[in-house]
Amino acid sequence: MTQSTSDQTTALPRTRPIKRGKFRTFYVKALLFCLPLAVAFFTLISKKARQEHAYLPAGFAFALDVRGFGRGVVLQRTKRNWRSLKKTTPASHIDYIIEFRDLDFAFEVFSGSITLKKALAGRLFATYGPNDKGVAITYLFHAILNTLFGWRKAYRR
Amino acid sequence: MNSFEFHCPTKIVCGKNALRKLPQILEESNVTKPLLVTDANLLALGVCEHAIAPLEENGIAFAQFSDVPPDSSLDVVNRVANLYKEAGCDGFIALGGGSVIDTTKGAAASIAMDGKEFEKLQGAEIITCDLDPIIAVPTTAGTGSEVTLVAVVKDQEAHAKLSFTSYKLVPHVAVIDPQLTTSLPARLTATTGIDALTHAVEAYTSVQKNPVSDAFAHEAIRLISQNLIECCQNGKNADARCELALGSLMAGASFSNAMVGIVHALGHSLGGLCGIPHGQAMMLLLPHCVRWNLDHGYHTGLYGQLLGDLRPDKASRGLTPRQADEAFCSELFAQNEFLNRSFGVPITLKELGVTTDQLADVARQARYDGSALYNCQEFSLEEAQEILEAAF
Repeated sequence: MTQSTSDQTTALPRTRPIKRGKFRTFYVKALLFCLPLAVAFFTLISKKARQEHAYLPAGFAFALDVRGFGRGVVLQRTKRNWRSLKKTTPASHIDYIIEFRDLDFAFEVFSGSITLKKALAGRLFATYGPNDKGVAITYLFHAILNTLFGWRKAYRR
Repeated sequence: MNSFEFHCPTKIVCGKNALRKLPQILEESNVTKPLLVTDANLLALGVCEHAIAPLEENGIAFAQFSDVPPDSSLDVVNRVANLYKEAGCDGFIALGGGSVIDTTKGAAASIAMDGKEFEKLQGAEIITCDLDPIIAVPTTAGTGSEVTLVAVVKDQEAHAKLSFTSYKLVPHVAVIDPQLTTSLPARLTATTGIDALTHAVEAYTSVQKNPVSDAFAHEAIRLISQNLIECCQNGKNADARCELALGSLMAGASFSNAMVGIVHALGHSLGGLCGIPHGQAMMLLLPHCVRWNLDHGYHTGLYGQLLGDLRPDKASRGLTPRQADEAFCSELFAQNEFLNRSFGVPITLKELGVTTDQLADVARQARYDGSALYNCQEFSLEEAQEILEAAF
């Protein structure tokens, strides 16, 4: 005689989704807050970041969002650097959007546990906007993250 | 295993006389008045008759647009969209090569997005509305556009190829009928076939490669390499034509999910700035890009895994992974030389009228092409130029 399904399931180890820690939420919020400064700082000190800045036209604006987390941050290229725009900037004024599909994915990328390339491979974020500008923004972020997290395992491979 | 997504919802109708099923396909898709989009050449050669005859025999009303040029533009996309609305159509039949199918995707997207100009929809995932049914009938075995989420259209003013990617752009039905490709000249068969081969090779080495796209890439390379030369030498061989077309479709499904890399980035740029046909660009760039990747230590061991599909006789010799990589690269060069000798296909940029002073602009545009992101390694302007000079 076969065992009933309920008997079988009680014998199995239970799995449940890991609860999202408050730390992750705080970390991503803090990072989005600091992002305009970080991008501006790297544009000043990194040749690579300046190269991508130079490719984009003055006035170009992009948003970094996290799904289910509301508008993250909006940055606009100025003549010499970047400036932060209000989160309420109308969509029509934003040229490019990078949207992480979940807060955990944003945390993994911005904590350096996975590379931006790996996130792209797993489609952990979606992008909306002209391709060439998106490529420049991706190169810019890659340069910043590489400098910040070059010591982490994911970046040392 | 890395995270991945795979999406290929297209119904595939394949085989000799597959187009006779067109009335039934339209009925299943709830299309009562399709717009047949094609090009003047196919109309003059009578290839369109294979689609028109079953429509007329079944009393299906249809409108027709037969002016799609080989390198379609935004203007043509808007003209197709206008005709579709004026004629009161409710679905598309795209009969032609990549240019025709991509133009049709563009028109369908423009209509679905409330008549927005297609130019404004450029980029990734901007098209969010469901499109009216698209039945794609490829007449070349190359682009794989009948199953892909990509449409590439030229911006005549900017001299650039604009690419549009969205899951909404994947055609609903793909009809593969070998009768449509039997009249394709050997030279065009060769370049479009190598375009398909490039899709499979680049999908296999892209950052978004995954086990499902890999399986499609392996089989695509096997089908293409087994049938390409036969199709060039004996174009009337319907079985070989059908298998080559299927190889192209499978390569399309593979790259639609894994994306392409440096070969396409450079190829799009050559097309936009120098007017080089896409298949031709792929053909002359592929071996040089593989050589460049191997010289820089990228994709080590991966190319060799494809040798068994490209040349099964060479793969069974117990080669080391490094030797297999080198053999794969050599085979690509040898294949190009054979196609050049046998069918006069150009294999250098110089033969195609490109000048050295154009290379810097091509390199710059290529670095910012959407495909460049999916190459395993970011490439600099100097590196892009290095490859172009090797292909010169």
